[in-house]
Amino acid sequence: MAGVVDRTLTWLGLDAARQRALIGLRLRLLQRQFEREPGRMVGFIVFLVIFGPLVLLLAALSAFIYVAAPTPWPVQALGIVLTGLWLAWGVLPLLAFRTNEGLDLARLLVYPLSTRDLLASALLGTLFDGPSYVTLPFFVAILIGWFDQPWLLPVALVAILLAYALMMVTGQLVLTASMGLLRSRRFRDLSIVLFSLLGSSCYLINRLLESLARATDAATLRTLEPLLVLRWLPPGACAQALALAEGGDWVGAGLWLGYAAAWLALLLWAWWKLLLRMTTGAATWSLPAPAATSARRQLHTSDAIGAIGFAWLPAPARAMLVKELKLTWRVPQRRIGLLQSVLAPFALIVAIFFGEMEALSRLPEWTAAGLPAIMLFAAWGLSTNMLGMESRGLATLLLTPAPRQQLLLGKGLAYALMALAPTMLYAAVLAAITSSPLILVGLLAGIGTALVVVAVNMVAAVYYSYPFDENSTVRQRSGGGWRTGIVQIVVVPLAMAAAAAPATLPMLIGVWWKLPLVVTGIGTLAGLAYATILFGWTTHYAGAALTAREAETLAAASLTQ
Amino acid sequence: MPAVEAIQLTRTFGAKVAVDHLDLTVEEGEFYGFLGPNGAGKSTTIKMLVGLLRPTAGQARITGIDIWQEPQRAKQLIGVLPEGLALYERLTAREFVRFVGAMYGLPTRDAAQRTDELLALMDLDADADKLIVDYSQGMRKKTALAAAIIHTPRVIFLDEPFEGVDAISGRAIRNVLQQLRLRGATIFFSSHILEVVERLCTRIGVIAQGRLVAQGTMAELRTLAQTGDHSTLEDIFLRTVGADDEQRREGGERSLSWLA
Repeated sequence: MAGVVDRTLTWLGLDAARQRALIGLRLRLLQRQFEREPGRMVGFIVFLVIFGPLVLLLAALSAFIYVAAPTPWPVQALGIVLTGLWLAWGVLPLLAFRTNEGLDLARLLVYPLSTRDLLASALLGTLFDGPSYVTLPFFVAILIGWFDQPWLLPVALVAILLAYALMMVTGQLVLTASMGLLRSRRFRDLSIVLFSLLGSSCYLINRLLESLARATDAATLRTLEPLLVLRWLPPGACAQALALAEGGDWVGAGLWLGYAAAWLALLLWAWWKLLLRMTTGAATWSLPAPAATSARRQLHTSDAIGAIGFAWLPAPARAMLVKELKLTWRVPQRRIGLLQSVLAPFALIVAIFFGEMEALSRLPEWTAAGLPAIMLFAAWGLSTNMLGMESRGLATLLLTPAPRQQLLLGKGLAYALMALAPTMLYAAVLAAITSSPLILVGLLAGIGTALVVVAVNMVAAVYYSYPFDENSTVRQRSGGGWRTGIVQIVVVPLAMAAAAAPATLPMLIGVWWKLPLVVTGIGTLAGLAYATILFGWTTHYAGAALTAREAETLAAASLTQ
Repeated sequence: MPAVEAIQLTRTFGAKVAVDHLDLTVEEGEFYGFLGPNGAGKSTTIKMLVGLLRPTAGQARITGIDIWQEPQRAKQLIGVLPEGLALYERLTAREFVRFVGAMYGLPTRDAAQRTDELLALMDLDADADKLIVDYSQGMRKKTALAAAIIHTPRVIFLDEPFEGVDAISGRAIRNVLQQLRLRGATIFFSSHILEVVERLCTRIGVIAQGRLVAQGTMAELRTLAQTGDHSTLEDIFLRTVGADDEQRREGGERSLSWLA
């Protein structure tokens, strides 16, 4: 078998021994990734469990359309599927999802490998990428769709191979281009935030698409022939070739396949040129550096924190609070949490306005009941892994003699403040519009919830921190062992729910049973007092625990050098 | 009272013994160089001495205070330039050094004033308001050093302070270290650059395979290693860690058969 493969490689003008070595390296690195980061295996299994059935379902649906839908829909659907996959492979690298985990070609450029060998190894390496297997059911569906016309199979096979190669090359091209862009830290920061927010705005996008779909009637849909446009895109050309071959136009099919092959050659050439340009140091599309922040402005930040009521804090806690506010904005992965806490209230508004109109008449009740949930998610997102989020700075922090209680107090207040500020503004506006004090009661319950959530995460951070790389090009790095993963995913949310219940339930019960406002208010204030006491006690407990086990916490949160 | 004491300090990682019952003493005011081949246990020792890595056994004391029993008291006395620098890269150098000053309990005004002076001394004042993530390696090292000494520590630990630093930054760092020593600080530092160690250090310790194999002044080390009066630290080091003996056993310098 190896001999056959070697002869094939040699026939294609490739160096068989070098290809074997490169594939061997790829396999070894893949194996090491799973060995050294058990979290990847868990992530892979979770991915399979969640997305596997979805992919299979979509592929089965596409096969059904190919087999059962009336002409011209099978080829139209084929065009949509192939173009959709191609676009996904082009866009996903920009969304910080790695579709290709292949060898870093830049590192291989120092060796005397031919361009053909390098590109071939990169393409062959995609066969070992997990995401590549997402395409497999869709390609099988194509073969099923045209299985009853065996004379079309050669065209279908060539079209599938071309479509696959086009997807992979496009993915590599975009990845290489984005690497260039990502060399600029400011662009990288911006893209991480923008694309993550885009991903988290699915609810709003979904609502928008739904209203668009409602506006399009069935008659319009029937007259659509997307392949007329899509055929000019590389994978659409593959579908067009199959459509022509089905109609007996073999010359036309060949021409369209040739057109797709020309696209492939062009994309390969562009990828190679870009790669050379990137690795020989010419291109970094960096934005100009912004003017340095003046020292005077920085002094103001610290003063402002004192002015808004935190002057009573001990100096280390206040410094920690200021630092946390700055870093939450400056570290893009953390900025996402902050921006989401700003956007969450708007999602609530949209939910109300897109929902039943009668919900509008109960705006104060809905808002009051929703505020603790918003605060819970905002505080949770901001304060998860709060010690790991110190990233490389954690060692410096733990080298100082600052009392650990004060450090955690400063951090905890910063998260509560960040979760609170946007929601408070929103609640104040709605309370003014509706003239309903119930919204303020909801806000009090929300503050209590945020304090409890931060308190739970404080304890979790001391015992179950995991590494976080603030310079990573993706949103979040997986890390920590399976025990940390289970605690963070299962135990922490349960603990939050249990601990937050006394802070939230008095308000919820009051709203549900329409109790007098005074009763609901007193109950909520008692809940807030409970949350404040819990926060204070937890700060002391977690501080003492951190003092006792800071070496272990540091080891758990340390990035592998 | 010794400034730094390691008593039977041991650290294992699984079956590997990284530091093996290390006994070490550094007196106040000394400039102590800590040498060893790669993987000898230098950084592990420093991490245990400064309270970042828990020893498997043994004690680490700073001016008589056990850092693992009374971490806050001991940490108030030390300044550390750790391996990997451990900077908050999204702070500016000015913000970072001030923040560290606050963590050591310096009043805000003092921290600000010291920061400005330190950054000027390190020739970082022009870039003090740029984010550290945009700094070069030398600038990062100088920032970390400024943060390590802002509270005028009595003992300063420096892990590879000259690695990846150009000649200009290297001189700036050397000058600062000399000034600190003149003020009575004890300096404990590890380095691979033997010329710098030879020039700066009053006493040198050599660690190999987790054990302290030699310790003393240059003269004492020459006698111990029997390398002659004019031998360099490199000669002494190679002899002490056994690299010379290994070569002799193998019949001279190691070479490649296919280059013969």
